[in-house]
Amino acid sequence: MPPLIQIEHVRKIYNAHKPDEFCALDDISLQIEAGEVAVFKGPSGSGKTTLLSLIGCMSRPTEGRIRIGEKDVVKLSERFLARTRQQTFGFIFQQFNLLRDVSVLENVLMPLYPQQVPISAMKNRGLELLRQLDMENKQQAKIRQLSGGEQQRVAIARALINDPDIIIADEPTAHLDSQLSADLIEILTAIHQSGRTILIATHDPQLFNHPLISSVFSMHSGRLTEGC
Amino acid sequence: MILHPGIMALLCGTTLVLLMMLYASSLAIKILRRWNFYSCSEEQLQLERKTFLVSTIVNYALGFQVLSLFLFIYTLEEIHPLFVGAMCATGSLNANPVGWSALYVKILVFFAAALWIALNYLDGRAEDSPLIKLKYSYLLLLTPLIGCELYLQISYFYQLDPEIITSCCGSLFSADGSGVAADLAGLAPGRMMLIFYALVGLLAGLAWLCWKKTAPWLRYGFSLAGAIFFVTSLISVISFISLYIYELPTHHCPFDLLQQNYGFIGYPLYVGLFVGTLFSILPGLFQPLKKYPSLTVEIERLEKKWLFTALIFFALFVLIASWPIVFGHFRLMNFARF
Amino acid sequence: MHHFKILEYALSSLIRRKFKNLAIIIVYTFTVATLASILFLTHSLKKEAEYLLADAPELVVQRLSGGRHELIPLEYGETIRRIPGVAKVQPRLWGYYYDGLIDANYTLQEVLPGHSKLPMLQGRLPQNPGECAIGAGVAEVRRIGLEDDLIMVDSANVGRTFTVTGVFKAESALLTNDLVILEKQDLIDFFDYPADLATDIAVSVRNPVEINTIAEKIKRQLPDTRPISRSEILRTYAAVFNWRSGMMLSVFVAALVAFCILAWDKATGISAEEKREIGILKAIGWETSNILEVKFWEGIAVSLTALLLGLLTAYIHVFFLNATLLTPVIKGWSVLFPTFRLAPFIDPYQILVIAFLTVPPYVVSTVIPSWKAAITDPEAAMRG
Repeated sequence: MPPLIQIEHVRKIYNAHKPDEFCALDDISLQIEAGEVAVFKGPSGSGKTTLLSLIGCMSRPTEGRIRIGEKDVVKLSERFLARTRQQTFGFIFQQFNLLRDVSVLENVLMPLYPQQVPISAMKNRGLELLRQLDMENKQQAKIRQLSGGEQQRVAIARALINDPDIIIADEPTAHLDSQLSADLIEILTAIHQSGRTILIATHDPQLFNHPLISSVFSMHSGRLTEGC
Repeated sequence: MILHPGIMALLCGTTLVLLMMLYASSLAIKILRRWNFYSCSEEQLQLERKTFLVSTIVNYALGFQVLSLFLFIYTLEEIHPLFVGAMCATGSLNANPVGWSALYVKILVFFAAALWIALNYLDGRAEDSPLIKLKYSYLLLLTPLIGCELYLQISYFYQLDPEIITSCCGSLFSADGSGVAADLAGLAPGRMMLIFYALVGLLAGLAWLCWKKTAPWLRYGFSLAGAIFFVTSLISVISFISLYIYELPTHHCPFDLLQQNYGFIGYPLYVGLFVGTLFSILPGLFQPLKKYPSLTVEIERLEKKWLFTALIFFALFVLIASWPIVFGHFRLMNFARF
Repeated sequence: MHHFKILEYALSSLIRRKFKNLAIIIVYTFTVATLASILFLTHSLKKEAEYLLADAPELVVQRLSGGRHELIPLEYGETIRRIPGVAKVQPRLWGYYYDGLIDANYTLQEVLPGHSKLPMLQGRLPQNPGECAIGAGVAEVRRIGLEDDLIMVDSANVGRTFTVTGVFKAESALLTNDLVILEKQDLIDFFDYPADLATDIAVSVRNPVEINTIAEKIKRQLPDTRPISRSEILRTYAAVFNWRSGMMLSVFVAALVAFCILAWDKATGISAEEKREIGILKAIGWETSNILEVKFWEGIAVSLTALLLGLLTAYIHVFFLNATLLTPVIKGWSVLFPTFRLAPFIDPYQILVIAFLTVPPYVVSTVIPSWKAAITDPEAAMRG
């Protein structure tokens, strides 16, 4: 079985041919198997977030190939890139990126809005996820009324709503204390046990030393220094 | 020149549309020259983003064009009291003959615009946008057509003079007169009815066959039949359909149907005909596009929807046209010329 | 299904940015209300003129001399009476009177049979010399009523007193507002009209289809006359109202352009919060076309709200407040203008025209800013 994620000689250059040209990623090649939990570690500016955004079909590389399953995502138009992003990935952002004046349930259901899913099915799915994450009683609360840990759980529910194969988490424990971080790792373990692949960018040692992690990639200045 | 609010709305709106189309065309030229789908460069990304802008602008512009056909006809109806001798839109058009050319071009733009919208929609369903070049080249032809329409509209309205005594539909669409309109009015209604309903049967038969089989020639046949049906229907409206609606064997006008005293029946009648024709020509016209692998499945899926929609709208047209014939009190067969 | 959810999101997005959108809606509503007021008023006046002229004579024959209106000999009436198809010939006596005291023009007219059909508020038509009936407008500006005296200065510069025997009801104001009806001889003496002349001749025709033919015959037999048909008057009114409303609309194009600039400015000034929201939506799988659809629905919601509110405001302004802001321009030169109630005449065509005049400019102003917002890079959301 081919790897789920294959990256070959990927480069990402911002502001090409301009005075402020910047090479964020330089000749990255790696493979990740289905069901793995991979951690990308490195200091700020090492290119972890850029790499995750390329894998997650948020943007296209300047050079190189990225295959997700059997699909070469570099060759996709913006519209189909978005579709792949919608169907294959769930994102947990560093800043949670929830819509503040919108309720918990609506935030969770937001990825489903552009899809042809009946409203009742949408709601049932959302409520089920919130129940699993102990957030069902806060379904109508506005985001600004929640604590950091609660917002994190809403973000996770939103990431799972599309039933994606791959979860991408960018610095998921950055705004959490150690207890909440431990809770998060438990949730990630449960997600992994349901058969999903998880990619995490972090510089939290609690995470990259955890037995849940199957591979570690170290990055520095846009290059892989370990785990290629 | 008549400074009528409806005329101002039409001219301002068409001018805005032309300006938007010119801007979209300038973007289209850029896209046509530099488009390379397989490139990962920043330029290609910007071009892809620009395609959204062009699509949005053109969809709005052409959407307006489609609606403005109705506004045009409605305005002609509204201003007819200003002309001596005019009893309906025919009189308004006769007050300055450029009006007829403006009407024909408007109808042409209606179909051309709707086709572009359909082409654009189809292109968006494919992963590799295979119709970019075709679409934008077509856009570059559409823009001058809209320019021509604006020119004709301005020409028509600018030279309208209420002092002119114009002839109304009674003389234009009279069997005793001369000219194309008179000839159409003079066609034997019985024969036209036969041709009309025979074509309805042919269309229904072809649609059923297209539903069951995938042969391309069936689709070409259906589309051709649809186009012929459009022309035949317009002739039929003048020849016999209008007679039954007006319950008068000499009243052939195709515009009086749009007036209040006939319950505005002309609007759903013509909507049924125009929209039905549009969807009937799509299967045949888009058949050659199946050569693009990314479009084959999509076109086959959409074909069924187009067929169904065409039939629904044609059915609406035929129903409205046939109702007074079947259930009305008027019997044309009693008259000698039938 | 998904269109419904996207519409729902668009509406909630509008409500979350209510102050910015409220500003646009208010200005947009005002623009629509102005344009709609013009159209409603002119259309209503046109319809009112049609309605009133329904009872007017089919032809009015005037005499011209050097291109100007002159008194017409009564014998012309006899000539006209002999033309086949003419049902009735009625010479009419009337004239204008300028009242220097209040800077107003009155129309002085002799008593005619038609006057008895007009509803009177009080009293009766003049039956004897020295009596008059006046319109509601005259009564109001001269502050006189039944049994009071109306003093006017005749053509010999002599003050003449007329006792008011009747005042017309305000409902007939369009016809009677500035009217002063006198006994025939009083009128002749007042203006010093020769006995064998009239101001014009009203002609009734049996068959309406024959009006133009008869007018031509009159013109042939009496070359120094000008027959004016009722339909000609109606067409002239319509043309003048169209022209006036068209002129006002042209002026208000400036207001529309100003509104478009405001709309563009507001649409371009997308807040950091809104940009962030769009970035998040793109990141979680929304396509550019979905964001464009949100912007489309927002535009529709704003346009429809402003259109409805504008139409309602215009309706109230024109039909309940008598178009106080617009009437001086539309109605013309007369100072003594009737404060009549306009009957609401609205048809779907007007609504369509107003929509066509106001919605496309708004759409055009916002299409590029909407697109710019929609192409927000989802990667930006990753970076927070």
